[in-house]
Amino acid sequence: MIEIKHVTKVYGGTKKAVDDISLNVPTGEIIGFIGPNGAGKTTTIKMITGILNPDEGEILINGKNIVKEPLAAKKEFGIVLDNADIFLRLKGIEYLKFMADMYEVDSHLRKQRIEDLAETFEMKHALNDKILSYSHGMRQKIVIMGVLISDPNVWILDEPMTGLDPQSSYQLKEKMREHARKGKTVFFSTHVLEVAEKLCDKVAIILHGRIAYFGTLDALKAQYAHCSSLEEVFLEVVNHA
Amino acid sequence: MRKYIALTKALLKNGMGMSDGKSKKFYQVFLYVVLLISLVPISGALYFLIDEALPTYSMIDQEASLLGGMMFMSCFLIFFFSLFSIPSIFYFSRDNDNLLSLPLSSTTIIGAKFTTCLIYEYVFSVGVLLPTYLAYMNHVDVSVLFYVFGILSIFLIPVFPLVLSTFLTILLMRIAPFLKNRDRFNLISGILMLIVAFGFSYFTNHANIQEESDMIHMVMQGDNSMLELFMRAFPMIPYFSRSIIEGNIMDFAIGCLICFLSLLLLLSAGKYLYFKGVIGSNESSSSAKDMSEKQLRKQSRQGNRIRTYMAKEFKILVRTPVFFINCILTTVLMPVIFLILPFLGTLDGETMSAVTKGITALQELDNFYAYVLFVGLGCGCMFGVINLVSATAISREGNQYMIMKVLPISFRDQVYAKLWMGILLGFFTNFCTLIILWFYLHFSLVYLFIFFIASCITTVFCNDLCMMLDLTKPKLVWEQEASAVKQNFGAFVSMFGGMALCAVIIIGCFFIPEDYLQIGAIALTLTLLVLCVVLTKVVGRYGEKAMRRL
Ligand SMILES: Nc1ncnc2c1ncn2[C@@H]1O[C@H](COP(=O)(O)OP(=O)(O)OP(=O)(O)O)[C@@H](O)[C@H]1O
Ligand SMILES: [Mg+2]
Repeated sequence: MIEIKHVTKVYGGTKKAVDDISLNVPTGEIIGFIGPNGAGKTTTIKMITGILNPDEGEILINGKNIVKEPLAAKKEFGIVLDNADIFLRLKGIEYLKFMADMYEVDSHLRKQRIEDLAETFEMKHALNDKILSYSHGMRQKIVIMGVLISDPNVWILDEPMTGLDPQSSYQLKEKMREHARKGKTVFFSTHVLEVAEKLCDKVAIILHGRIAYFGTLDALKAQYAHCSSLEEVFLEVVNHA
Repeated sequence: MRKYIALTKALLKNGMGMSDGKSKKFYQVFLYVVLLISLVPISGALYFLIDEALPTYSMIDQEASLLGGMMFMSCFLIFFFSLFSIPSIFYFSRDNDNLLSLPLSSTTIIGAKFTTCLIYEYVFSVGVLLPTYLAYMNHVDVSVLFYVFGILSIFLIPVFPLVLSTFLTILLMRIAPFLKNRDRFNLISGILMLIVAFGFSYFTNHANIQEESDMIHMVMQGDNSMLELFMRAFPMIPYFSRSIIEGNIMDFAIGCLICFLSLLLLLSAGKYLYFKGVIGSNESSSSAKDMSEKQLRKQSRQGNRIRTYMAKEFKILVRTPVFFINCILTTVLMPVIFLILPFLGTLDGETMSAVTKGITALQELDNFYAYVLFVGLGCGCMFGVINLVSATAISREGNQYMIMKVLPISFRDQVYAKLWMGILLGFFTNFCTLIILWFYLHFSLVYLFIFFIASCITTVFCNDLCMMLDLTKPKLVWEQEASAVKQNFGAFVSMFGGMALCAVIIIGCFFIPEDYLQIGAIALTLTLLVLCVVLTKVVGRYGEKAMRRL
């Protein structure tokens, strides 16, 4: 559960990137966060995860305030940032160990999870190499594995599908579904409407830093009954904002 | 041509190593001013040196060769330093992947990159040649041509050495493809640099007086014959220096022609060599070895968080060549460079044994421990920070600093993990110093112990300060790891601060009256001890606040 209450972020004193957003991301569902480039998706996600401090408003993750009790809040979520080039000098397996230690995962859980994840994402042979030698998609995968190893209650992803091959993006979607089925929260931003359509229970559309729509896609389509595809609906929403 | 100008502008804006996106214009201007001011003492010293020497040279008609010598010096500096910056600008820069796919000719790319390098190198030509010309104005009748040629030469002279080093680099990258692995290249060139530095300091220490008189003899033969010497490496120097002294337009034109032709040659050679060399220059090797069951089990054992965090820091320090050379290798090498080479390395066997005898005798003194305390405290300041581990603790994260903010481990613990890393490496350096003291100067165990304790106190103290400085103003926006350590103003301040503190403590102790020596040493040690405990406490709280602000 993520509660965003009247959150505003201003860059450099003038540029209002996020403008009084309120959003309740419920548990047990997959919520898609869509919007054009520069709409404020990454900024919002950075505020949820404590990378940026909101100028106004507050954010609770499973009831824990990210600004006031950051450690407790951070234990609740795992984040896949949009830049996957991290810890390039570590080997894949060392990165997983690092993340597992940071999230204090039990020894006996870990080995099982590493093996499972390496199997699912076909990373078995790469774990012993430095991340520096990975392809873009492989780097994305190791970051995803680093999050799933701690099985967080809230899973936040910023454009996770970019660079993944069809199998891996299928596997990722499966993992997200599984996560939601277990009664946990998945919140991810994307540009790919088909993904949102197939995967999400609800979507939040952000335009110029404001939430333009929050609800199920079916309800949205019903509002714009004259449009034949989701793409058209989306363009309509963007143009009428 | 338009493409060339646009590309040069873009590269300059992007690459001015100092800017970090976040800070204000004012801060950048401030940095450049500081850089310029730090040049002043060196340039000033040059000015007085030349002012002194010029009359002697003009007596034997050698004004032009002295000028040639200074030009040679700036050329050599440019050549030497550019050898290390050109590969990163031409080959290992991250913008290459973008540039290669743009419809730009290799001539445009080389031209633009060359121009950016050239602008950086003007520091050397201005720093060396400007004071030279100023000094000349005191002794030589200057004409209008002197001013014109003088100013022009400052901008023209760097071209040739830079062409030379660029050409060498391009050729090397083409014929020795194994250097194209950036990590390998950085490691090899870094170690080469150290060897050159060692060799240079050894050479200057053991330089023969004989050779100096040879030089003077050569100079005495008169009529600018020494110019021949510079002729070989940098053929435009004699023309430029003669033209400036004698106001000879023809000579100046020839000098310009040489620079121009060399540039033309580079551009046309680059056509054949550059693109083939640059492609694939960001590779890194992978072993593709599978993990054994045992390894997997080992890696999946739960560990202490701070220790894991430190292990991660250490691995990155060791595996990133620039960090390895600047932060890890220095922990062993610094005591060697500062103690063995300048002091001990130059003494012959007899003097050496006299020194050790003297030290042994001194160790009998009642107040010797006070000196040991002072020297230990001083050494701890310098050796403790010279590895720059704490001074660049946050800067080294670069754009990955966001990861620090999302991990569920408190900022305090992260700061401490980084701090312990720096302190431990500092302790290691102090320990290496002990070995030197024991082996060369036969310090007794008690004094070694006192030295170690004293140096460790200031090592902790200085690491705390460095850490706080880096927390306050980390350099987070960089393209290459090298700029996190080498072009980091905060790290620069930390290093010189440590050295200055060391000098103050060690030199200061000789000004203390004999009677107060022991009490002074103990008082200083205790004060620093208290300070270092307090500061270490403060760092955590300060780090918590500073990291929130990032
Ligand atoms: N560090 C920054 N400094 C100043 N402005 C910024 C910064 N980061 C983002 N912005 C501005 O904030 C706005 C929102 O950016 P944000 O990165 O959140 O967009 P986004 O929705 O993630 O876009 P994309 O789909 O391209 O990833 C943009 O207009 C951008 O110009
Ligand atoms: Mg984004």
